[in-house]
Amino acid sequence: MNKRNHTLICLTLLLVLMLFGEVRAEVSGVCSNCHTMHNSQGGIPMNYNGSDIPNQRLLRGDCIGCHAQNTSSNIVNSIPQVYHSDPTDLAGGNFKYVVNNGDAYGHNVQGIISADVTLGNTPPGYNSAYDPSTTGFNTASRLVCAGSNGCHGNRNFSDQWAAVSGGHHGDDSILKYGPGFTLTGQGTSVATSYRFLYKIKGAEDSDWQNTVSATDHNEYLAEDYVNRGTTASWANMKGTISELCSECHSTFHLGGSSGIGSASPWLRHPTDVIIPNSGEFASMSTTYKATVPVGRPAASLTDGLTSAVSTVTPGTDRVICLSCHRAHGSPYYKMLRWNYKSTFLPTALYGCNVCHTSRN
Amino acid sequence: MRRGKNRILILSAVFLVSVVFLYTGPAGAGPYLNSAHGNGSYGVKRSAPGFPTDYSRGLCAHCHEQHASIGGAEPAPVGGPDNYMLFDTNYTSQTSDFCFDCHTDTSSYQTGGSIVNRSYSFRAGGWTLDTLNDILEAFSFNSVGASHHLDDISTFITGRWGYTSDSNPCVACHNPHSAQGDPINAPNSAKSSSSRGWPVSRPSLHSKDNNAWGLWGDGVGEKMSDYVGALLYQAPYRFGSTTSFEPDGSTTQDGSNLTDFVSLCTDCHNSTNTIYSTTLGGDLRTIDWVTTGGDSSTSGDKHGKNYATVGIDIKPPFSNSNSGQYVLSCTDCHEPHGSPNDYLIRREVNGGVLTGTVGSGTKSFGYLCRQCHLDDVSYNGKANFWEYIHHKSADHPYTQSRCRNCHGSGGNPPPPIRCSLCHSHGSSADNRRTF
Repeated sequence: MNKRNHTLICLTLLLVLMLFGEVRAEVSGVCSNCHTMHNSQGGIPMNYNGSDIPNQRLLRGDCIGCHAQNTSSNIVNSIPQVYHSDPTDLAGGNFKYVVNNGDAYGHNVQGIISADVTLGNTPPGYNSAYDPSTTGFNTASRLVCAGSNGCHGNRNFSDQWAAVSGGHHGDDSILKYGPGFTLTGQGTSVATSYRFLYKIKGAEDSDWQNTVSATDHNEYLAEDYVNRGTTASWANMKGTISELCSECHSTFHLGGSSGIGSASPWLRHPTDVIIPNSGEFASMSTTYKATVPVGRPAASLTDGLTSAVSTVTPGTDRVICLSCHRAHGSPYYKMLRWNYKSTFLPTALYGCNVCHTSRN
Repeated sequence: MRRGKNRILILSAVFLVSVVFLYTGPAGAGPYLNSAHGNGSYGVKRSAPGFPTDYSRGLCAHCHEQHASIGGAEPAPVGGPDNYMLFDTNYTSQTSDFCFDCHTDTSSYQTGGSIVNRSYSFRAGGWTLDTLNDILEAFSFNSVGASHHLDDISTFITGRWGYTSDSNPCVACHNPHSAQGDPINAPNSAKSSSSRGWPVSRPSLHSKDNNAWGLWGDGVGEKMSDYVGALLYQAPYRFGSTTSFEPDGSTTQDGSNLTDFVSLCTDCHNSTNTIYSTTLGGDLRTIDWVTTGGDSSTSGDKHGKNYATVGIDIKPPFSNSNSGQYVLSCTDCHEPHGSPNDYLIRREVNGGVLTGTVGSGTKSFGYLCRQCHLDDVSYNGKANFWEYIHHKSADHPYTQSRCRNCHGSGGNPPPPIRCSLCHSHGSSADNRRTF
């Protein structure tokens, strides 16, 4: 080996290492977890759903095909599952409940279940003026995973593939706990948005809360509004998880007399609002409960955050949509995090009483 | 042998722990779960088009709509969202109030279509013939009779004790997340010592913190016996009885089973607060239930802690021998919500029903007074005549001469003088405190 070849090899190795460094925060694992060259291996389709119809981008499935395999595992080939029979649900919940229990137990996503019999395709509380998507939610079409009629990806695109394009292979290290974590730059692309929820900010638990504790969970940005508007755009979004919900369920978040109001007495249950450090709220448990999560102000999600914040601080932390609901589905009515329909009142009021400590 | 003994010990311990759990309330039960609204058996349960039928009793959603929407639409009544996330407008007028949406006997949103709530005369007085059976009805006495004027309450409490203009006036006296029925879950029965609950909370202690704003009357130091201290509270008779007493029909007579309503009411109706009355078209009389001093011009009402200076010509169970000791509770004479009588005067007092309506009639207040004080029945057989007490009793204040100077002209007997000209809260006549 001459000196020139030696230098080339070294440069190549360096390049590989550099590239490795670039991609290590992206989707990890072997390519074949997600991709197939021919959708055929030994004459058998490689698609997760067994279909012999190939997918775009040489993928082994679309969103549903990869993430909703309906197996007994909540994580398959490092792919988090949103529809499965594993007894442990990941942070977003499980679509099996809407399939098994009924429309009120989850989002009726196309490909998993038929449209909601009561709601049809119209999200409750939808207000196009508060939907930042340039395309808007098309109520003539079904709810899907991504794009303008979904939650994930860039909702300016009506096509799901286009909406999430670039997400899985982008550098998302700023979303992960560790020295690279920072809110700065989050939301500028699908890849740098919390869970590919465009513009949304937070900290992603490495196993989607397959294991969960007070110190092991996602963190959600939740900013307080001085003057919450009645219209919204990408430009004026703060990046809170509740804003994501409000893109479709607008009137449950927007300000004014048709929304939640602007201060107590609230007209609807507020979100993105500080939990007061007074009255009954001052008696809240300060230990973080993953069953009733709270949102954090940007000041709490500091650069280099190494792990989830284990405490809840009234006067600082915020109530968010996810404090009560799971995004995909839950075993409980209205996708709640606890059994509000329990005939045993302390159980039914469990989630309410986490904050409303004197209403027990 | 030892193993067997240990097994018995363990089984006994398990049994005892089980018994404890079975006989205590729900784990973590607080004021709401102990309230009438939060009771799993008889608490709030809303029935309305668009509202889930299978929500358990006592859930928040029966009163509060978290999103003013269920299943994509607002359940009836529509028109929200409303303050405090209530399912209807919190307060509009004397007869249009969120509480009345359920506390009415017709078209109530409570499952079953009605909620029965009785008068104080029914519940404490034991006058179960009273047909008044709901709160809206009680607050509907406006042109005939009187009720606590909700607009005036709202005006008065706004800016006080943490209340705002958004506060429901009912919340001046009731904490909806703590209030209990009294009697508990027995709306068609009078109170008994085994069925007591505690419905009121003091406005001066108001707090949004349900733990901080507790019930009034349920605790130590919150009874009428505590209020009177070394003086005497005498419970009136129960309706038709001379052996059982208000408020629960027991033989207890000293107010140790009665909420200290004086402290509750005088949070507002005291000697310093100016309260405008829309009904009367002016400010209410102030009430000094505290200051002693007999007939001194600075003293308070003799029905309060001030003492009688002369004979009181009283009926049982009150006794002339204790005339300087008695302190009355507001509820001995007044209904809390409303009454067909003026000034919310009860229809039943001290064991009997008033023989006439307290209204605009000259002597109509006498129908109340004679429930405890001697009119002329035992003197000359005339009910609601007051010659004896004013002119014949041993310490009568006025000798009978030149009748027309006081009574005016008009025959024999001379025309009566309106009772309230001399007898009302804070009144004096001829250098006597006359109430």
